[in-house]
Amino acid sequence: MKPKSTYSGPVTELGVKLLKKHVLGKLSGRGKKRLVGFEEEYGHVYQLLEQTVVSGEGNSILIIGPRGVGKSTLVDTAIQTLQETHKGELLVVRLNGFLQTDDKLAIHEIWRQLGVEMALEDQGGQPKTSNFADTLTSILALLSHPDELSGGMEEEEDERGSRKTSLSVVFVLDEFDLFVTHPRQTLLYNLFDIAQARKAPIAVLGLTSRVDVVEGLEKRVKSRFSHRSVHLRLPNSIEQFWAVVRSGLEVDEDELGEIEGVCAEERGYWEKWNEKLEGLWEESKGFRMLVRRGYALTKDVKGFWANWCLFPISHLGTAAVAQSSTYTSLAGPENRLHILPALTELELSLLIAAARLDIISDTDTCNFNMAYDEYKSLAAKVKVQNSIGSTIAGGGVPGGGQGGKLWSREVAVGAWEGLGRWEVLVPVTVGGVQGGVGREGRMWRVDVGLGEIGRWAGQSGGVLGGVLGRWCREI
Amino acid sequence: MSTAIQENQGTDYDPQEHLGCYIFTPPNASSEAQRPPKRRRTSTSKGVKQKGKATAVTTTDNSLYEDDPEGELLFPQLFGGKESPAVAKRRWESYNELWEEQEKRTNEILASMNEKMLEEVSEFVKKAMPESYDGKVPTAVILVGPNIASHGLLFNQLATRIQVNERIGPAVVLSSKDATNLKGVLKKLIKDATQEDQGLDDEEDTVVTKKTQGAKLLNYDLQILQNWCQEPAHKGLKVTVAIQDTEAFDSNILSDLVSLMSAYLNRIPFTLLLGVATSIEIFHEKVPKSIIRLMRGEKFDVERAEECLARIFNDATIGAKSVLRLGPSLSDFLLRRQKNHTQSIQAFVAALKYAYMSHFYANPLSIFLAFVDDLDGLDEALKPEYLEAVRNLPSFRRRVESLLEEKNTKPVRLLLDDDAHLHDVIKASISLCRNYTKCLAQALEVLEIARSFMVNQNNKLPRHELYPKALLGELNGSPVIRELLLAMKKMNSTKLVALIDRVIATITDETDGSLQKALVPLRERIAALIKDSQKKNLNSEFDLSVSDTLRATVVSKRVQLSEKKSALTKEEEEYSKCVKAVHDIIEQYFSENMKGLEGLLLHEVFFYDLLSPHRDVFAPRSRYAIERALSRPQDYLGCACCSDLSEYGNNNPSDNPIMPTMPAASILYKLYLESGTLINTFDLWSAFYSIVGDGEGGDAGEGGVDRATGQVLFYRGLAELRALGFVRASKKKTDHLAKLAWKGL
Amino acid sequence: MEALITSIDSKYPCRTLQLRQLSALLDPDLPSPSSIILYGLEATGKSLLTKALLDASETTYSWVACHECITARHLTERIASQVKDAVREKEDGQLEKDVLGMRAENINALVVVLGKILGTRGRGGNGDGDDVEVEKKHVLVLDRIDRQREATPISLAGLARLGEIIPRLTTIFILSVPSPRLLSTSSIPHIHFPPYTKDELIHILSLTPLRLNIPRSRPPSRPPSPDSLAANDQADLVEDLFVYTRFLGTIWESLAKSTSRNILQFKSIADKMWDEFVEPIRSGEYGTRNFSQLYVRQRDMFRVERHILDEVVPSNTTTTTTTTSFSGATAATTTSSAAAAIIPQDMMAKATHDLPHYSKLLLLASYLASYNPSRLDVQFFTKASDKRKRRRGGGATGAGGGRKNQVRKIQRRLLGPQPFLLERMLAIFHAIVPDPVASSVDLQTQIATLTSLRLLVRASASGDPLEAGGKWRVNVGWEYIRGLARSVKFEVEGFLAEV
Repeated sequence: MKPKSTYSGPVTELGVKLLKKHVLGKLSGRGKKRLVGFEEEYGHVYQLLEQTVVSGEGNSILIIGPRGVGKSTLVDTAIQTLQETHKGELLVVRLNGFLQTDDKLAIHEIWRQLGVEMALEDQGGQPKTSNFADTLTSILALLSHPDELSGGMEEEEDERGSRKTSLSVVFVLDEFDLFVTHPRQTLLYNLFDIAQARKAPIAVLGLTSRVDVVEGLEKRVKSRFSHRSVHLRLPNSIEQFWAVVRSGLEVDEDELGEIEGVCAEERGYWEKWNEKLEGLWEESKGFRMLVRRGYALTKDVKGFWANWCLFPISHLGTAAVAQSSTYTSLAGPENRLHILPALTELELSLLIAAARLDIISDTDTCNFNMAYDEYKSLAAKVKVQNSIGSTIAGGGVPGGGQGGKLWSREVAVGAWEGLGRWEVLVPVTVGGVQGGVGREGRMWRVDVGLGEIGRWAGQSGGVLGGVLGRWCREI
Repeated sequence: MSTAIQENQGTDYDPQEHLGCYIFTPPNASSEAQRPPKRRRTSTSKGVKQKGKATAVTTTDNSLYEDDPEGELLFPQLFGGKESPAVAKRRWESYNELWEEQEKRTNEILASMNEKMLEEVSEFVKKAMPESYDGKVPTAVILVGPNIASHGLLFNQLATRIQVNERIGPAVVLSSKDATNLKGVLKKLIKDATQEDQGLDDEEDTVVTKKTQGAKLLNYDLQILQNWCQEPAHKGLKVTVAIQDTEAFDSNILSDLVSLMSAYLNRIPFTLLLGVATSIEIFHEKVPKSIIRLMRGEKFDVERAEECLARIFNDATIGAKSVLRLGPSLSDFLLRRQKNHTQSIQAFVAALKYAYMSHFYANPLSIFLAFVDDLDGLDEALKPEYLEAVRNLPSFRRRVESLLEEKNTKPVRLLLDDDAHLHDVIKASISLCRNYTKCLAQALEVLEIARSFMVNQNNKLPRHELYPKALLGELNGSPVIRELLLAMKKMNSTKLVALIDRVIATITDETDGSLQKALVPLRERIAALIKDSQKKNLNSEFDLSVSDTLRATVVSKRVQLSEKKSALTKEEEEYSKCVKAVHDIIEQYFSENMKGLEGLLLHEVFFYDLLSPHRDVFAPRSRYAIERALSRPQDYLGCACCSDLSEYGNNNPSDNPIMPTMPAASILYKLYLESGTLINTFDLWSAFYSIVGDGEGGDAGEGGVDRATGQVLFYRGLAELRALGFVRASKKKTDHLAKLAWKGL
Repeated sequence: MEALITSIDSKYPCRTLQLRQLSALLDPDLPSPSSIILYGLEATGKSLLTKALLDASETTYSWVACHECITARHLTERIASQVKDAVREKEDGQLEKDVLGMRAENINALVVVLGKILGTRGRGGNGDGDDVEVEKKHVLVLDRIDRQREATPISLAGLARLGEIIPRLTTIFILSVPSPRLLSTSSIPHIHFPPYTKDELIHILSLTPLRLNIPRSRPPSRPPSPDSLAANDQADLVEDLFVYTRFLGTIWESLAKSTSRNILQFKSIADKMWDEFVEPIRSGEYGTRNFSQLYVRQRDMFRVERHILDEVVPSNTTTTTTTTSFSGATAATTTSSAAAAIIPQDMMAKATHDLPHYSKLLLLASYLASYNPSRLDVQFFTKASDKRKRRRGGGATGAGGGRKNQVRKIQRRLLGPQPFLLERMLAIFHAIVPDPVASSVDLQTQIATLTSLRLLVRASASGDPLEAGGKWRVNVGWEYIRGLARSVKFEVEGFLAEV
């Protein structure tokens, strides 16, 4: 994917630099993200927010969609445009279920953010009292609707500085499902209550990837929640998918345009770049395959960007750098199997022995003693088979290595612990207690199936692969 | 407590015996007046009565301490108070000084025991660097043995030595009690390590200010220790972490701790001491391999409990210095207890002290021990009642009887009537006793040395285990000695000479140098023989037949023997004679010195040999007592209603019937014994009521109780059984009781 | 940039790809992803490489060793203070007092603090000002995050969000085994550090080879110091390398491949075995070139497991000490000085601190109670029945189960010790003890001692230890028990249902 190949004009350092920065910014979620698709959902959310801001309604809505589909992007764009259109009329409070792990924290955080927003030094950044109720009431007072305020505008002016109308606040609750898990859902209850009872003009946006989150709400909370929700779906055709992918990869002229020092060459280069992307999509088989794979496996755009695009683009240069490893992915492992090649032979043998036990004596748990016993019998068989000593060639070694050598208990225990450390074995706790029986009696569950190991061993070939493969097959 | 009751039954019944605690009122003259007869008996008689005495002694004794600290008349006046206070005081004093000497010697031994190990370990700590153990935590594994009681002391010694004497750096001793969680351990570690000069406030707020910038640290953050180590004042100091009881330490916490230490090792110079009571293998099994990989070091060994015991015992009872010694049965009991149950030196020392005390407390004649060094001082102490007491001694009786056997009545008459004569006899026998012990000790030593020369070193009893046998006179002509003598005959010249040398060397301070005199010339002769024979080794004729055992038939053997004999050189024949001589000498020596103390007059004074007090104080059989009390309450209550049962078979409850008059608990216990593992409560009740109930409950006779009372009794009894841990409400079936305790364990 | 990479690459070989990827992601003048995951088993150069790269590049970074943090709070506090220090030192950013004073008790507070220090993103409009701030980005490395003791999925996810909230920040998670949805977000680039292959290992180790130093006697562990590399030394080096590489290869094939693959263990094994292995060369009976003969001679070294077992007290040293003592003792006995004649005795005795006699029996009893089904007790411990009937009966129950159903029955022995009633154990004890023993308090104390030595453990966590209904369990293996039985001359095999 070197645009140089087709672009006739010169490629300037600046051009490349800006492009890389721009595109990478988008890919790594740093730069400004652009919403692709979801026009109608966007409209929905935007209109709801607008109502809150303009006519002071209280609203609540859930935005449901899988990770990386663009929930936050949607919300952010909406809020941003609103902030541009109605300057200084709304505040945004962003909460994240990962960070505010209980309602107390959440309240404090709300207070802090509001405090920051409205520069209320007199009340202090953090509330003096850590009492939940007090904090809540003070926030309520802060949010309360002007019509309900005892006393007319004058007092309000005194206490609220120079603002005429009351501010409307947008609460963005990321990882909404975690807030649902909080005990008694106090926060949600209060927020929804405010929103519904029009105590104050607030909008509560819950972002979550769980569809069934509403069921989690308590009755009193559920009853106060306006059951609006917006579902964002993953692209359901590869073209759509590509469109989103492309939106991240291409250059948005209008953004880079106004940077000084940018002149025709860069512009041309960027245009070419965009064309080239389209071209890649049309022609290059490999690239298409890649996109198709991403679509087929996860439909996860962000994942696609992070795993496949970051590395190549960051290696762009004016001169084509010969990168053999351009297409190495940065994807994480899909499952436990990736550990297998890294295991020592002994560990593999024990693992297989343990996995066999699951089938042979149908228990899903086993301990070291059982595994080692099985391993011993297996190894003994092999030893018999290739008992005819192998020759020593160039430091090659007799007997050992080929799964034939029987390692002693002591060594095996070490290997066993290794398996446990790498989570191929999962400890089984019976009624909370696991210790006491000693490490050789402790019960574990094997986290990889015998079949999987067998398949891998088959691929890995070699004498070892053969032996182990047989162990996996013959039961 | 049960024993206490036993003592008091028949005599005055003291309700205080049943109270957990009570204000002690010092014994006034009257109570003293009526108690002595028992005391007189105690000094002579053994057995059940003695039991009670023991406990009584302990209670009164230490409560007396509170009463008058300056300690006049801490011991009661014996002989029914006829004993003069001065003498009683003298007994007390002599007890004190004798025990003090003994204790001093013991402590010296104990201190010297660990000296070597302490030295080595502190040396190790001093020059332990991670570099020298390729970057792993320098670790000293100290095998401290299964005697848990001594560990705390040991590790404190270690810590003080490292921290104070050697000034290597802070040494923190962690025990499993601190190891409830990792945080706690770290807090303690940091606190103890740094508190030396910088006290960090560790109140409610878990935050402490560190000297460098304003940043704060949690008080379980090893960063604190790191900063402490980096202060100029503490440059080059090592932090020693000693884990006292590694086995008891929670292994997860232990591994966390070790991994943390190795993580910080480049910033904090840690050294780890692990006290392992069992064995390194078990320790290795306890800790994951990945953690073991982080430690590297050496292993140290403390003196084994057996060695320690041997030395102390030899010093206390065999050694020449000690005056009062343990008798055969008692020492046998103590030794076996050490061997079988607890290998705890502390326990042994306690027992020893107890022996001293009760000897002086209850035995009027123990006053003699005060005068062993000036026998003339004894005269004014010897009041007539003492002579009476002596005449009551079993050893005295034995002497008299033996004399009567020999039909010479004159000395008997003298002994019995003439006090002056008895005087002299006593004096004589005192010195005799002392002499006897010396000889015996020496003989034992010689025996041990000689045995160390024998070919087969196995089944070798150390000296102190032979001691009781020797006292009983069983050693004389026992297989142990015969085997030795046989081996001596077969010895070749070099070995024999070496043996003789050793023996001569050891028996320098022999009372009469007879053995020495006898042996020296023989040694000369043998040496001469060796010189003028070409062989370096002379074999005696007794050594022949062992040469080969292939020949089967007796005849052939004899033939072979004879020809061998003829083959002997004349030196060898000479040598054989010498061997014979030596053999005879040694044999005679043993037979002289290995006599039992039976024949010894007054040995009761010098050998404390009352078994039961120790058994009851140090190894009480609580469970047996409870079971007996439940199955045979009449033994304890001695009430009229059950008195007729007393002639029933003593221990097995089966053959003494259940009486309605028995306490509810014991009735229920009997029913309990008859029932299975699960007891239906209602059945139990009905059975119970059929016994205690009146009329309709069944065959129970008149004078039974009505239902309500029965139930009260029933529930109370059941509650008592429950409290004693016999039954528990079963989870398996409703209103059933689970049987917990098995009988006779 | 390239120069930097090559220099690091030469320092830490065989990690080129990972290095390139990492450096690309951390490129100082390009926006970096908010968090990166480096994963790979132990000793695959994750931390080393990262540190080297960060040190070389001018981006400020703060390094947090998570395995040193005991609690979650500890972690957050540590992160905060590290970042503060880093910012203060490197980019002399003036931190106002209140920031210094602020504490990070939890992740939320941590976000606040970091936001204060590094500047959070402006509300609403995200990413306007970024281009300016990206210039001085800050990298937060959470080393061995998977070893953090209180790390919950939520807290991890929270940490992963740091970079999204604070634009300047990039968080690097270093861990051994990633679970697919570890940080509950999809768009995190992973960099995998696979374990070194055989050739890589040999290549790396032979950069600092162990020396034969045949002529001189230098401690072999020391790498050759450049000044002393005279010509002949150079020649030696070639020879040494020749031997060393083959030596390593052999170790790999025989021991390391199947037991310990990571470089540290591999190296330690090599260090342990080297001197012993090349001894014949040093002594001069073998040349450096005929390796295979040398191997044939030394073959046994590669069969035994002595070198791959980790021990606190290296076994070889202990063995040597004991052997010397024994040999010394034997020598002494030959020179029949009586003093020495006693030595072997207490030498052997010294080897073990053994338990009191009855403690041993108690332990045996509890082993039997743990490993025998209680229904067989009558069969085993009735004084009347003789041993061989016993064994037959026991064996039958043991083996018979196995043959019946094709689903193999798991042997009881393999399942580890089963809990037993204390009473039962005591009964067994009284059955196996040779001479009747009066049950005094001493037995109870011994049980207590055994418990505090963890040779005996309480299985039921319920309430008071005095309760007779409590369940217990033996906590020692068969080998130990067998040794114990021998020491008290008790033939334990006869009493076990499965031997």
